[in-house]
Amino acid sequence: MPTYLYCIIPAGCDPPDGSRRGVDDAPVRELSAKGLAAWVSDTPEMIVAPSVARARAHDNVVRDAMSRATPVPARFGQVLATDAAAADLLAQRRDSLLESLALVTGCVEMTVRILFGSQRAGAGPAPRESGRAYLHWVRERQQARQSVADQAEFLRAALARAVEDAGVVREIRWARVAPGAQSVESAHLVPRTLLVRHRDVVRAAVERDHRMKVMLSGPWAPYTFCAASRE
Amino acid sequence: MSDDALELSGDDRLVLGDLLNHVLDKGIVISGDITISVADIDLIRVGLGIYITAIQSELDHAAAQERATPDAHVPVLHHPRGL
Repeated sequence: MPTYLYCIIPAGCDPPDGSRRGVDDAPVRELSAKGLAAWVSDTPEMIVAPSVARARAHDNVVRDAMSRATPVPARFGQVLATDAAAADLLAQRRDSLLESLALVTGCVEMTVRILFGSQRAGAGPAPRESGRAYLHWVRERQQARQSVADQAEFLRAALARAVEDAGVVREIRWARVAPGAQSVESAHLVPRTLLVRHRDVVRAAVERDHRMKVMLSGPWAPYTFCAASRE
Repeated sequence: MSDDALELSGDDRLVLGDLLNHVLDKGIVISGDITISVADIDLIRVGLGIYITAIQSELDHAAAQERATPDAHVPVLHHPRGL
């Protein structure tokens, strides 16, 4: 029976409760390998098609593991042929997995998103009187949009400086900004004991800048900080 | 501070987008058999495109669950002033 992977935690932590169910309501169990423990379940197929319900189920298992230790969350959809194959991979990746566990231990992830999509970027409707007027309007609108995006980047950097200066973040990862994006994001790895302080620091920084909307979502398992690719 | 300075909590669509972004596009990859990564395409965009029609029913379901179990583990969207 193929084995579906949710997360990896240090060996010796409490295993999942017998009642814990995962993707497609499969019972979740622990699989041990060389000082590591993985939370897994059986799955009938090697391919698990993504769905919102399955994504929620995956994350709920990871959150349950967070109640015992800080897990290294696995990306959705990783299926190994057997328990033995999963244990072999864990053993092969042991050093990098231990590094990831050390990085995130005691922390959660908070997503900081600065929204600027609703900001006015460019004035008025497109002119119709001439091609030149239209091109001028397009250029002005592009410049205005760039200015708004630059302001959002500035605020993102200001927030990062604020939480770093306050010592309430262990690491920050900056998301790429796709062309045409309406927000910029960063992921903050925050010690659990400093979550309230982190929130307060973000709030204080935002209060100094009324131009942008800022969302703070979480706490999440540290998905962003455990995105090391396979070796 | 202006009331508009922060996005209010309860924007469930963005929370669900965050959930999909984390679960589908991040997290450690130890297996070569992962099946949803397609040529490094940004999976949050793929995912949201796929699931956009499912979001409302999921949100309805989540809301019903929350009414039934107040401690349901839907990710919390913090409003910095509200906690």
